[in-house]
Amino acid sequence: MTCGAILTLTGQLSAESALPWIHHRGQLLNLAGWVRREDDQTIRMALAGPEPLIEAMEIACSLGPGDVLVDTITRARHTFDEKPDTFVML
Amino acid sequence: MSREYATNDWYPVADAARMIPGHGFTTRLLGEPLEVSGSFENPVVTARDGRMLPVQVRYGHVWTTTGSAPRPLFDIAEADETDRTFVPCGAVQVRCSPLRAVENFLDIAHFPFVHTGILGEEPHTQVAPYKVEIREDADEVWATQIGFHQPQAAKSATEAIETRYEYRVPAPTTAVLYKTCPPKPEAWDVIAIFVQPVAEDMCIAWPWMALYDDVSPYADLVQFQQEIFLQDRSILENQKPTLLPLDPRMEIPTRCDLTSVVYRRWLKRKGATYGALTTAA
Repeated sequence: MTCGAILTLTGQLSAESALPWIHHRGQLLNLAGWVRREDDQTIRMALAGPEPLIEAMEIACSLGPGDVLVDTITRARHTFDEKPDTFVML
Repeated sequence: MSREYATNDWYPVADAARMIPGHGFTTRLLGEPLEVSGSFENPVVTARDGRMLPVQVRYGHVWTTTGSAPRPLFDIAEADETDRTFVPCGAVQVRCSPLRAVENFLDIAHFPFVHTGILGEEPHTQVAPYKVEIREDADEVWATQIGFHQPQAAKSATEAIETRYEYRVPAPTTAVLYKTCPPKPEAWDVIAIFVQPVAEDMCIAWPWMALYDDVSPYADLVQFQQEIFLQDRSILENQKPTLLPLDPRMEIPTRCDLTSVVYRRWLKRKGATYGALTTAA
């Protein structure tokens, strides 16, 4: 098992740029896990990696790409059954 | 890069105490030329089309707005405390976005490297966690619970101290710093930066202070602040991109940059994008 974090973003997140932007940022920070859109107002991601990089991901996502507006970002602990080795868009 | 939001804010265009009747001058605001004339008691600001713009004298400066429905000028309560020393610190013209100038003012992490021996020094480079929020009731950004080691926190400081900071952003082109007052630790010194957006990539910073310091000569107080701003200027004028990115694709902000991130989020939410880069940087 691998410990990580779940980040949940809410806001005006319907722009097509949102998921690719988060995916690019996750790769830039060398994080593993997944990101998926729940609906037009919610995006969720599960992250595995060093704590400072997960924190950097959280801070970057609180601003996001130019055409989205993030209202809230919440964080919870997450346990992966198997250690992920890539960051994927679901 | 909308001017729409920006036109309805108030901006400083002159040091009120330096207004001399019969000696008007031309300046620029949001890319448009303005004529500033009159006196301290009766300043006059005229647009290119001859229209007389609204004017008020506050915080030692002459303020004007070009919009038809201006928002009220923010309040700085300490400006009404008569036992403080009020110090307009002149003007520093900087070839950068007005939003970049404000963001730089909010950045603590650069102190040991740019203002070495004054606002910071190695090895005291770590920025401890602090709190940043958008206060919805006031529609302002606030950063609080900031502490930093400073060799000379103010002109009145006689030794290095652990300085406490609070930052407030009451308007997109204004930042106010509340910091430990060395001779009166129970009070805050107030240092503000009022930014005149000359254009999207050019601004004039008008620093202003409201201090408890009845010892330092006025000229020394101004020189202290001018020295700090001139140290910042070379950094600001070399930042790329010139405009402030609201989509910082190639930047990697960390915990110490949280004030900047929240400031940018606040600008984006308001549509206050004059001086901002809204596409991926």
